[in-house]
Amino acid sequence: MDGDPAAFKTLFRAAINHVYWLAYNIVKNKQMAEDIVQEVFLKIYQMREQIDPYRSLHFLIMKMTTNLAIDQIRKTSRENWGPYLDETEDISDSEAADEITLTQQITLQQGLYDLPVIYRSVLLLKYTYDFSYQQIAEILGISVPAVALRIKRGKEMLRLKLKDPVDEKS
Amino acid sequence: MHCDVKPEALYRLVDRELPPSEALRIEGHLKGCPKCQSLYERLLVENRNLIRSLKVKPLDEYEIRSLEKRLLLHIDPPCSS
Repeated sequence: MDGDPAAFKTLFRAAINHVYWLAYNIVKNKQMAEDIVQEVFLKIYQMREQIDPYRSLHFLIMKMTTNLAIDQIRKTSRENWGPYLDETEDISDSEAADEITLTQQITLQQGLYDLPVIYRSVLLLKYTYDFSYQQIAEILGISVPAVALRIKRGKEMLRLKLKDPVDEKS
Repeated sequence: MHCDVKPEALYRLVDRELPPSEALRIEGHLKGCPKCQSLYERLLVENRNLIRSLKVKPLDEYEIRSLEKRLLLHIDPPCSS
């Protein structure tokens, strides 16, 4: 990139959909997601001389996006930060989903949208971006076993939502 | 058949997160354990469903241009659009 405006625009075009999608699905707010897009790319531009060309720029951008989005939630206290479940609780195996229809895909997306951010973020990083547990642990600053546990718990919560998509919370 | 495989290991197997030797051991176990085999198959389907459902939805060109324009205003030296 090296300060080359054309290269920066190419990078922006290549990454914008990923950055916006991840930010939006974490903060659940269009304006905030757009602000995060702005901040991520400005930071990348400002630190362009320091970026290690041998490390994945995609990983760096997704890491910055995730953490800026989670910081936004922390700052604005827009949702309950804590986990739904005690992470020491033993959960028996509930049934995993069968192949789903388009309608169920939308239900699943909505279910993800309603999960606490600690589960939403790991599921997005794993199943949208195919990051390894190790990479997700590095992005979120948590241990690999914690990533594995959040993925399992997140899936369990989603299954409950798929079985009862009209579940109304009081 | 005695089953010593925890569900957590099957979650890691479908996510390709087990060391190769452990993955081989569990794959061998699946052949003789219908309960684990059943859970494994359901977890595979679930992963496919998640990947299919959580794909990135692209922004439209208008939205991209709008975000690009806003960003370029803050870049120094300015990038021509």
